[in-house]
Amino acid sequence: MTARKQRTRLAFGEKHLESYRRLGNALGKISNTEQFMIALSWGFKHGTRVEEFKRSDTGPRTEYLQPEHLAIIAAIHLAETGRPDALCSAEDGFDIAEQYAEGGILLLETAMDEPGDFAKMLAGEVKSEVDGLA
Amino acid sequence: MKIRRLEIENYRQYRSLTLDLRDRSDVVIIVGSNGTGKTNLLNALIWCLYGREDYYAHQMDSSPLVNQKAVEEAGEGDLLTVSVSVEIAFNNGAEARILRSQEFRKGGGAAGPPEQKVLLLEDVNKGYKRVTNADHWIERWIPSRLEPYCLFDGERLDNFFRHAEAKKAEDAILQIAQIDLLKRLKEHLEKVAGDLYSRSAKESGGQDRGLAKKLDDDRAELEGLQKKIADEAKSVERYEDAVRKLDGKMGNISEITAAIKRRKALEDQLEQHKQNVSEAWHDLLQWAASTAPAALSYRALEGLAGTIARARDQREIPPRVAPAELVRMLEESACICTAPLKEGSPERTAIEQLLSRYERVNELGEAFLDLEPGLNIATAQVRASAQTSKALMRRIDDWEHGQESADEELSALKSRLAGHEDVEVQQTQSALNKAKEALETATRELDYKKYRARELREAMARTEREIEKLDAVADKAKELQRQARFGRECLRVAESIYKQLTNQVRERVAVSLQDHFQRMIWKHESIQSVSIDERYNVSVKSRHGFEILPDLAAGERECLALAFSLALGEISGYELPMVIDTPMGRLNPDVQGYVAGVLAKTTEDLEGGHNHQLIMLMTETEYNPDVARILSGRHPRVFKIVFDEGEAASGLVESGALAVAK
Repeated sequence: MTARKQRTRLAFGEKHLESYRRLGNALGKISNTEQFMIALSWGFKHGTRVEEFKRSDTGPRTEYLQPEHLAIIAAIHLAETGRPDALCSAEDGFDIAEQYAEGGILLLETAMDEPGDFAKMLAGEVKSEVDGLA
Repeated sequence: MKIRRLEIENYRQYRSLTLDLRDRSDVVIIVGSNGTGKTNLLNALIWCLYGREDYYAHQMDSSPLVNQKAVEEAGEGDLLTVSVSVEIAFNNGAEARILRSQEFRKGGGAAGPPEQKVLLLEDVNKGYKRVTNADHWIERWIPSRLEPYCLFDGERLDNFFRHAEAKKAEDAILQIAQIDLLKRLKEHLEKVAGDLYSRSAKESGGQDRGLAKKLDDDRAELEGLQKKIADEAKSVERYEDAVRKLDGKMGNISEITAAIKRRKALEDQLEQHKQNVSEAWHDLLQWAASTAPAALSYRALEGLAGTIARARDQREIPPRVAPAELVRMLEESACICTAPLKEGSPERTAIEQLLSRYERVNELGEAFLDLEPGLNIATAQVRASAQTSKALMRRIDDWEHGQESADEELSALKSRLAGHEDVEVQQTQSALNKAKEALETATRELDYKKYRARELREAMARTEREIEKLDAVADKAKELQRQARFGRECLRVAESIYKQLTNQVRERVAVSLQDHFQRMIWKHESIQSVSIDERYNVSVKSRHGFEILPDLAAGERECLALAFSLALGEISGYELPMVIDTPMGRLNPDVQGYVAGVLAKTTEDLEGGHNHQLIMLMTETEYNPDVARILSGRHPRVFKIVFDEGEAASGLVESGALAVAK
């Protein structure tokens, strides 16, 4: 068994590069990392995970992930597997993250095509989520 | 003196109009909406009597004097006659008919100068006879100098003391009393005396010739200067008139100007609100973008936090001390606090146990330890964001509410301003500013020239004194000096008479003014005196001795101006009819009734109301039921101007006093 090669970036799905660009513009030119994290959390929240998809060469570099991003990825990894020891493999966590991000961007793409202000819809959703937690 | 009949043909809005006032004519009210021709009735009367037509003078080519419908109907090259005829009745029973007419050729402007004739009926049996010198006759019986005080625009009244100030009051008083003739005599005597001194100096020869030349030069300059002063004074008057008219116009549209200003402020405010809302939304989106990952994954984060907490409870995660540090302490047998760590000592045993636990810490524990700081940041961010989002939403709500209110007010304002062109207001404002600037420049020029004239007069007086000091050798020179001294003496006498007369007339006007004014106003007991000082400043003193002219209300100010007109009429000795256009145009509705009462009572008081006539041209707003009720006591004859759009001409319909108001 050979050790998995450590990835240097989290991949955007090849088909959705344009949607990531639109997402970034809609939310005020946010970074690749932020775009990825929003897609990931959106996919996780709505339980949409795409396991098979073609990865692009574009996406946030792992070295730029902040501790809180890594914690979110790990938390989703744990929630998905239910096994704490799964956290020993960061690469597996990244796989899951990419798959949820792919599911998330798919949903967001549909939302962006719908009439109305997408950014305001997203802000409203986040706000009600936060209010619900309180 | 009363107007008995007015006939107008082809004059502006009027194709053919007859106002017959033979039956009853003490108080006449002519009501008309804006633009139907009220002011043009007054203009027609002034044109007929004095030939003055301000508007016509400016637009000679387009001949606006001629009724446009008549022009349309006429064939190219046809002659059209504009005529206005006024019949007046004198107190002694004599009657006069004054007629002015002018012909215009379609497409060619005026076909000749206006023609005026006066027909006089002194004896019914002898019939009308034509007066040979119409201008002279009118100047004798209906002097043009009285026109501003009996045929005037009521909207001017409110501004009378504001614009006219002392100079206008002085001109009015001196003109009415004809003292301005004495002024001209003074100027003539001054010139004669100067001439005589100059001639005497020339006769003396020698050094005196130089003085004579200086005197002549100074006088030539002074004469040139006086001509320029007269021209400049006319310019000042013209600019004052322009400023007054534009000021009046601005006054009329001041409400619109204020609304336009408010609209601009609201538009700016709305823009600012929109920007604020946009900024607040931008902040909210930023917040959403940064909070979304943690908030949407919060349940997972809680799961991770729980797992880590359980691991810690089960001592799967050691406390945060690096194992290498523990090894170093054992090797050096010294704690970091420098206490010795002897073999078998409890401290050393504790450290050894801790180190053994570390050996058990697996890869997972390390992962937990690594994740913990990020997990804390993410969860803290979500917990804090509830407050942040609420504050942001409140900001958005506030700005959106402000935006909505501004939007509503702006819409209402826009519909109120519909039809009023900003550009028109701006043009009027700009024209007013230009007129004010021109007035300022002309006044400065006038003041400078007057100052220079004073300097020249002083220089001439000095030269004359020098000539006096020199011994006049020749008899002729002596004689001329004697005559010059006599001229100077005459001048001094004339000046003294002038001063006495002006003071007397001024005081009589002031007494009459006070009398009329106190009868007009409701707070008459609070007014102690109305006076006109030597500089012709009108002053109104309260019973406590304070100057209250600037504090008079609009209605009181109008009463004061009316009282001034009446006083001037009284001093002049003429009983001319008073025709006022929009007498209450500038007054609030609550004051209109009061002033209407004053006007009605004033005509009644004067000579029992038998010889005075008051004709008021009023808008429908002015002639409201309240005003109509008050004036009905004077049994006025009320006419309504009706504009026929098909004929593009106005006509008069007589109706009951209260019918029009209803």
